[in-house]
Amino acid sequence: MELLSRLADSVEQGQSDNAKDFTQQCLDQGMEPNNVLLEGLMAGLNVIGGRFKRNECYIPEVLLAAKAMHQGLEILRPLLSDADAQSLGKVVLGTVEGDVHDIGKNILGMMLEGSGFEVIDVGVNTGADKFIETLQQEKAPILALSALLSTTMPALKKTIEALATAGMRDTVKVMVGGAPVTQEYADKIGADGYAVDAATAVDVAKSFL
Amino acid sequence: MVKQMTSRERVQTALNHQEPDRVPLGMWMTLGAYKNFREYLGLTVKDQYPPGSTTWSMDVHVEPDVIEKLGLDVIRIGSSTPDGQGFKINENGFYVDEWSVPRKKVEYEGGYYMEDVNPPLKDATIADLEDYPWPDPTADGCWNGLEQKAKRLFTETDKALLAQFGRGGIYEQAKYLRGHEQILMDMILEPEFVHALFAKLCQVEMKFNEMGIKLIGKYLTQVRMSPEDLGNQDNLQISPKTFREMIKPYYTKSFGLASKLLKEQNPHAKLQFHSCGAIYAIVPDLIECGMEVSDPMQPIAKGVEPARLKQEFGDRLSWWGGIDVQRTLPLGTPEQVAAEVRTRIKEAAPGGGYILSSSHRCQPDIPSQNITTMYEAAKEYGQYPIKL
Repeated sequence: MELLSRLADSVEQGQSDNAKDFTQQCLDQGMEPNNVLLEGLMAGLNVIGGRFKRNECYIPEVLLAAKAMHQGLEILRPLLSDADAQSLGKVVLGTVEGDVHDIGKNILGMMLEGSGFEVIDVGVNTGADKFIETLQQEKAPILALSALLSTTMPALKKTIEALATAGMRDTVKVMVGGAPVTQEYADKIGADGYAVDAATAVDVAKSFL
Repeated sequence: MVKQMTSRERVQTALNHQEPDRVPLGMWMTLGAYKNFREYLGLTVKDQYPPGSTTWSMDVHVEPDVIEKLGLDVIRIGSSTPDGQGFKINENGFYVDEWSVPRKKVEYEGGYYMEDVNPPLKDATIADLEDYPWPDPTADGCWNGLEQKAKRLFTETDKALLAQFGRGGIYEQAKYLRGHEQILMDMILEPEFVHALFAKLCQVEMKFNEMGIKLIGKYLTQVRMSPEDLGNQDNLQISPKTFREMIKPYYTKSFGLASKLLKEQNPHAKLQFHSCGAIYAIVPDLIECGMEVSDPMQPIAKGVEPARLKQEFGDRLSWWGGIDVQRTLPLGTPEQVAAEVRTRIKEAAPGGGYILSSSHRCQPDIPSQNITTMYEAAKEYGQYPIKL
């Protein structure tokens, strides 16, 4: 057990090498990969996510923790059986067309992963077609859209309209966020959810389940 | 009744923390918004305008005809690219800027930005920094015609002149050279590399400012340092501790030199510094470094509420901005714009120390009527003494 908490600490501290080593040591001791994931890697990530939510740490610390978690996850991934890898659900995540801001989106992706969602990040400057294609391929029930500029907010609306045209509006829950976006705007464009920050967005995603 | 002032007197008085005749007015626009707005005003529109504050920022120096027509108070000027050519996008939508950062044209509805791709120093070591092709602040292209232009605007208009000479800055430019996420992680993992990079960028920024201030400092009311975004919407990007260890020493040097040279040329001129976002925790540090005008006042970022800033720092600091470009200007009605102008003036204008402008560049999604309403309302509510 002590090893698991050391693994969690190494993720929280953003120590990639340690996260990798401790993950391997956990497996060498015969621990279940799923336990290592939940009680080691994700536990560490959740601590940093909580600190970020309370404004007690900043972007570099979160990025380093996410990097450390991924180091461990690389080792675990081939060992996780389908049954183990049961996630809360798949979320397709991206920044809309015309907008290349990605740090906020990446932090949300990390916090969703830390909370047990499987995240498919389609990147920045993403057109509606790409979102739709990915949702179909992955059979994902949740779409999370980010826009940082008032000038790219219309692309949130366009993407939601394209979902409706593709006949997917009833099968996919859409959440929107980004600095200029408000609850009022989200309602106006027919989004299912809005979040003021990444931590709240995780709660919104859970409310869709 | 306060005696009517010239624009230059109005700005100088306000920046000296005294009440002028009315709140001074400034303007900041992207290329796309500027073209729309000129058309709206019935002025001629050119295909292309030289870049404003930096090559990549897609803003313009608003021309005197617009400033005169709206009765605004500040004209912005500055250095040009070292080749003197501005930027030219190739047929594939790419452009390599004067820092050798490749940029790609990314379009949104109504305009575009030149976004950085493939940061050239992403794998660099300290040794690589010596050989890097840094922009040359002494190149003729940066300064061609600037002295004549400043002198002409100073003598032929009564407007205040605000200049920016630096073309990228320190922390901000490092994001483009190293990669946005990488430089943030580097500050924790590779502090020696970051110090070496920031020291180099600081040298370049200092030389740009030295060249520019010596050339035209005597004509200016404000020098704006290269923009540096340290804040997000709801918090700093990095901790105050990281800021103090990794960035502040370079601001101390660079602001210090600019301030000293500027005051030698013109004791009344002020140092303006741009950072977006929730920077409350480091405002005292920035004042200590030499910031006299904080740009922008961003009303909906967390913790930098105008009334709070004014109350805590109003005796030492002035602000530029205040009218929200994230929600009110693009999405609000003219009535909502006027109401925000009234609130902002009530909060920020008493005692001087406030230049009203949009809280960032106006983008093309802002209805032109909202822009004119902003300035009309400012003239109505901004008469001193403020009685709102």
